[in-house]
Amino acid sequence: MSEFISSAAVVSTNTDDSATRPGITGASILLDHVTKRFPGQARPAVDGLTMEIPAGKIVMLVGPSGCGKTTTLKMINRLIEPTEGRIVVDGDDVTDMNGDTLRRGIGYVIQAGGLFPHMTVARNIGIVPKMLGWDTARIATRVDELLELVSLDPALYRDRYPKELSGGQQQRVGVARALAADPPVLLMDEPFGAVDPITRLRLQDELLNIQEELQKTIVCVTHDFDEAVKLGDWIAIFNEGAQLEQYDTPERILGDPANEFVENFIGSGAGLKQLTLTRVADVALSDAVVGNPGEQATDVLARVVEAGHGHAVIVDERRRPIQWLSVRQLGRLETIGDVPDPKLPVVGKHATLNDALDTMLVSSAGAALVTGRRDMFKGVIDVQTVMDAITRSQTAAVLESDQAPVGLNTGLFQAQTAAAGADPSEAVENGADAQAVQ
Amino acid sequence: MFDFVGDQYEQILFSSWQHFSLVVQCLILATLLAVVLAALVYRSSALTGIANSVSAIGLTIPSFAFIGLLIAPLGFGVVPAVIVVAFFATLPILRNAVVGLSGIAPSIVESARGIGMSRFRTLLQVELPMAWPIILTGIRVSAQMVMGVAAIAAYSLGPGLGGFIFSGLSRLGGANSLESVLTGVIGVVVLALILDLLLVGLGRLTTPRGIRV
Repeated sequence: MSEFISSAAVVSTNTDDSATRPGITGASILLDHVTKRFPGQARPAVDGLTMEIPAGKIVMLVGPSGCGKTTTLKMINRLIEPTEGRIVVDGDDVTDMNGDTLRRGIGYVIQAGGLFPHMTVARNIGIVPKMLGWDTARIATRVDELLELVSLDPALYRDRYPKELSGGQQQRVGVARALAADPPVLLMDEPFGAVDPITRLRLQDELLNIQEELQKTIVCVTHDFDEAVKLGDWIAIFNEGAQLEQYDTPERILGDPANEFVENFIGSGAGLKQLTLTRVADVALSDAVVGNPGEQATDVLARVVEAGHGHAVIVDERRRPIQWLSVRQLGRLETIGDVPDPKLPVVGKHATLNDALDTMLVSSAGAALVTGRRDMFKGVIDVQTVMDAITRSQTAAVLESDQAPVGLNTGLFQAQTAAAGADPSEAVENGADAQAVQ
Repeated sequence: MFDFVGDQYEQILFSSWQHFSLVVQCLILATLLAVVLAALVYRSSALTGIANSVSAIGLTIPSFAFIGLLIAPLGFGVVPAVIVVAFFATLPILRNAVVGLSGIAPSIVESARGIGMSRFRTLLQVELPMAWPIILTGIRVSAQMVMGVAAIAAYSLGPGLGGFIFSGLSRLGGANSLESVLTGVIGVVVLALILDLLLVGLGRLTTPRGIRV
């Protein structure tokens, strides 16, 4: 990023924390009093928006259709040029630099991936590195690396064309393409809008996994509030003209909506939605008695009785759960079989409590098995654990985070600063004044 | 008939080659011209409308009249023949190129721009390759059409099989006149078939599997 921004005028306004915090490869973004007026429209699509996007976080832009959220997103990489205001990426003013150069340094994912149908998967992914002048060998290595990252087998998918992929696979390649040149910022415009609900959930989980590894700054537009709650570290709720109604953590938006508009937007079931905020990995799991195929059922039964449990989990040689046997089932068996039970209630450790609860309700045991990396068995989650987690998150939501990023619209901003009696240190206006004096 | 072909064997082959070469060269010229024109107009609906009208109206001009009109300022020879053949070849290609370019989903263009491709690079690497199968269909239509036009262009004493047709027609009833006309006509048809096969082959070679129907 920094290598191409060096040519642009450097205006360091915000303290850049991306360099100091280890692990984060993302860059902070600042929209500074950004306005967009489209010709022939009376009201601006985006009206004096100031918004800080912290490095290494996922920020979700949500709001009703036509509220200016997509326009806001596209102004970050200047696919739409702002009428007024400045865009600052990683402390560098990018408002006047070459748009194509800027966009090569920012990942961009659209609905259905936006893949080029006449290019293979490998060429699609390699297109930005190629524009940046990488050599062929380096591009090929990078392509395979990225396909691995988005869980597609390079040998199988490298030479396929987009039409030979499913919708979810196309979307994955779209994400891989956006990440190809390792950009610090990833912009996503309704990325999972065109895939079926089950694939969408999987893609969302994968995005979270990727983000855990890469720590990019991700700005994502969606109209699906549940998606925003699931993915976002911060959620910005917009009203018409990109009026920022609330910019806060999902916990606080659900627990303490700023106004009626936000309440209506959240819709009913805010309590249930809070379940989607906590992940299985964040709660304490119960232990379970573990058995292996081939063991004598009586041995396992003895261990279950000794531990005072009702069930034993049977895992295969790679510790993946294959059966979950009750005391009664164990009593009827002689040796433990190795046939996997297809109806096993299993959730991943990144699944939300909502998913876990859903799995539990349909399982006969009233609990679910939790698996971690490579589907290895980690523990058991039950309804009581979920209840405890809800209580805790409700108390936590009331506390305001002191790290909250700034998000304002101009009118509000001026009113606040005037009330505080402070001099509104607006870079844009100061610049204009300075020019007027000269 | 066979005697005529036997006697004129070398002349027929030479004229066929000339005819073929004229058509192919004019097609290449026309393709370049049409693609450049289409690239200039396809993003404006007004200009696209004009381009489509021009290609529709242009095709109604009788080629015989057109070549006659060109002989006055340019004289006899190859130049008016090339102009007429290239002109008629351009029209269907232009139409298809405009249709092909404007038929590309806006989301594809947006994603190209979004990952940092310039306007020109988007056109060159994304839009034109995607529109290529449609442009190629236009080229095939043109090829069939201008095979006939090229025969008429021989009126300006340009190269090709048209010479057999005109010389036969001018002395109809005379010795070998019908054979001469038939040789020209059949030659044109055979050449058209050969060129079409070649263009189909070109399509196979140049259309990536991802956009083949």
